[in-house]
Amino acid sequence: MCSARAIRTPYGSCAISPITLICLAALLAPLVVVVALGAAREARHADAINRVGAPICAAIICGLAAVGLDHISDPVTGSWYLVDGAGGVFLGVIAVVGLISALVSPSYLHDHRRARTGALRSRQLYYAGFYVFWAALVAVPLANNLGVAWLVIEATTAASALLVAFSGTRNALEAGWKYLVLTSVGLSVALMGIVMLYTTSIHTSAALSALDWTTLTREAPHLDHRTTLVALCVIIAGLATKVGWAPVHNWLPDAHSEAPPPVSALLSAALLPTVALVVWRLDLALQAAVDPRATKAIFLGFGLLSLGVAVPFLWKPLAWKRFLAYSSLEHMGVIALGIGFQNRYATAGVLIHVAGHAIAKSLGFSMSIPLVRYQPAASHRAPRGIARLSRPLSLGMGLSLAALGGIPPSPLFVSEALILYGGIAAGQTIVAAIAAVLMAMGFLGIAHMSIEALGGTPDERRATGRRTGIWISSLAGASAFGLVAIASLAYVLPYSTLATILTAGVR
Amino acid sequence: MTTALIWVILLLGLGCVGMRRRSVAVALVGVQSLCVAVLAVMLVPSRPSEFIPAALTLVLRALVIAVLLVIAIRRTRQSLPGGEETIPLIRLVVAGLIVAALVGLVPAFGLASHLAEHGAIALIATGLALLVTRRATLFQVVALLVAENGIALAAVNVRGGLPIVIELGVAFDLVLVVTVAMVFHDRIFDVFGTSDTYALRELRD
Repeated sequence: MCSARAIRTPYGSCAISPITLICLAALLAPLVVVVALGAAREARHADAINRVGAPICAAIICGLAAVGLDHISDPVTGSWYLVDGAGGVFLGVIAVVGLISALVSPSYLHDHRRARTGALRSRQLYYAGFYVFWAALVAVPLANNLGVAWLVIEATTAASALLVAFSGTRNALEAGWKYLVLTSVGLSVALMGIVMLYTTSIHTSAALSALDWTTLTREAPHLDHRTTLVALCVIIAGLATKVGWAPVHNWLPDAHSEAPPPVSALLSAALLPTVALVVWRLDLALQAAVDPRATKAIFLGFGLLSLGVAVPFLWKPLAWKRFLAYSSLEHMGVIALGIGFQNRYATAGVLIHVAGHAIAKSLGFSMSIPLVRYQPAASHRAPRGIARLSRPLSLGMGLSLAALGGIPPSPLFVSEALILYGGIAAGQTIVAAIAAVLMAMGFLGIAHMSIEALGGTPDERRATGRRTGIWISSLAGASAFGLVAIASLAYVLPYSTLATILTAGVR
Repeated sequence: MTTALIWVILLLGLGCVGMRRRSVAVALVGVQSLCVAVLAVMLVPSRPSEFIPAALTLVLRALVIAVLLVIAIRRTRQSLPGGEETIPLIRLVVAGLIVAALVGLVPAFGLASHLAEHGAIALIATGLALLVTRRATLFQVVALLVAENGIALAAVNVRGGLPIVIELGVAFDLVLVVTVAMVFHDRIFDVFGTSDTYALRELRD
């Protein structure tokens, strides 16, 4: 672990190090876009600011992710941040998902004009919420402190709840309210756990550093085992509502299906796994304080339960976004299993799964924008015969489904295989076997959806709304390239320093 | 004195469970928040100087949230929201059972006072009970606030107090979440014509 060093100039030492500057830039860039939106005088100006601002934000966040990946074996810590390999992976995911979501947002906003506000005001509200949410997401993996991580996770709730209900429909309000109340109560429970952990870890004065990941790891052997285990269980149970692990997932299908598609993508592909990273870091930090079998059991329980709850819904003919929401529940279950198995194979599997799921789910949610143009009824029932309506759209939807279903060479095939192998290597053969059966059933459900949605005869005879073939094809092509690139990492990642360090914990 | 105040805080939480009218429950949770803040102020002399801003933050938080809730009630006047709810006695029994279960399950975790420890857990349990037994949107916000008051009660009883960054951050986040909840409360009242969450049951598979 190394500390960020300050810049040396001919005039002395500057107080801010280059890495601190990049961290600040990554957090502030989305907020600068929010300020710039205030200058927009027409709706198209707001869209233009978004189109310029999103790639800049994504580039800065990617730069920070690269710094993290460059410091896998010697993470950089500042007074408030931690830039490490795991953070690098998750920051990369947040950058890519944020960029895709931002770039498809104008298309969504064009189709969903709100009667209550004008086009400009509507866009300003949407983009402001979107970029604040993006900035809060970036702060989660960067936070070098459990308490600060909790604060920014709570901030994501406030920003994203309004976005979930953006359309203003009855269903959107219902989904937004459930999301706000259930996740806020879950986070309150987690905060209670943090207070308990803080109480047991500090004996002198109020010091924020007592909750730093590095301090928790260092002090773990000296903590009271029983109290720490209770605190850990309370924190995991609370944060599980935000990750969307069953049985505290009730908000997830509603929020994902009713939110604007770009927001659904950010929720599913970036928010859920990023909160899971906080849980993962906490588990690794407190390994020396609690019986590892207890925390393993918690993660494996959440994993199997999430898979078990999700699979029956993957067999039902659901509307496209609702189907993707249950797929998120399934994949969060797979990630929980990988964290619970806790060895280099499962760890590598989790990292590949997070990245592959992010691309596949972003593509899937983005496809829901043209989908309702070609088949308006698909907003509330299962799509049918899309291949006959639009080849680019069916290509995008098919690619997303194939990747989520884990058809080789999808990275999710590789990651699920690694996680199951990790389970067997960890001596959890029965859990791995049950998980394999549930994953296979999930795959069959997705295959069923693929046949029904893409094949068959559509009810509509012709396409409605704007034709958007070029951007759909471009996004599908770029996603295919990204998915194959991620899958190829499977050959090196299990034996990498990143997997070793993440299995052992932050030191 | 502090012992009596903690008991008052607990009884105010149970009062929220039993009360029928939103305005009374909001008043009770407002007084409860102020009592937690007063408790923090009372502890100031025996604490390091960093504890003073934390106590003041709790006072400010209680006042801002009370104002937000009063505005929400005035904007959405309703004769008997959640009129079909369970009777107060059943609600209190449910709350009592949840409180007894959680207080019995959670071991001591090292706060200065055992009563504060049990009180904090009891308030979180009361918040959960409110959430499952009350249907009006405002009552669900009250549920969140009662649970947060439980956490604040624990926080002020931590030896040395919580770091000020966390205290300020939690207060800011809570005000933010309550503000967003009030926006939802307004919109739900506009669109559904009621603030009864029983109307929010259209999304099912």
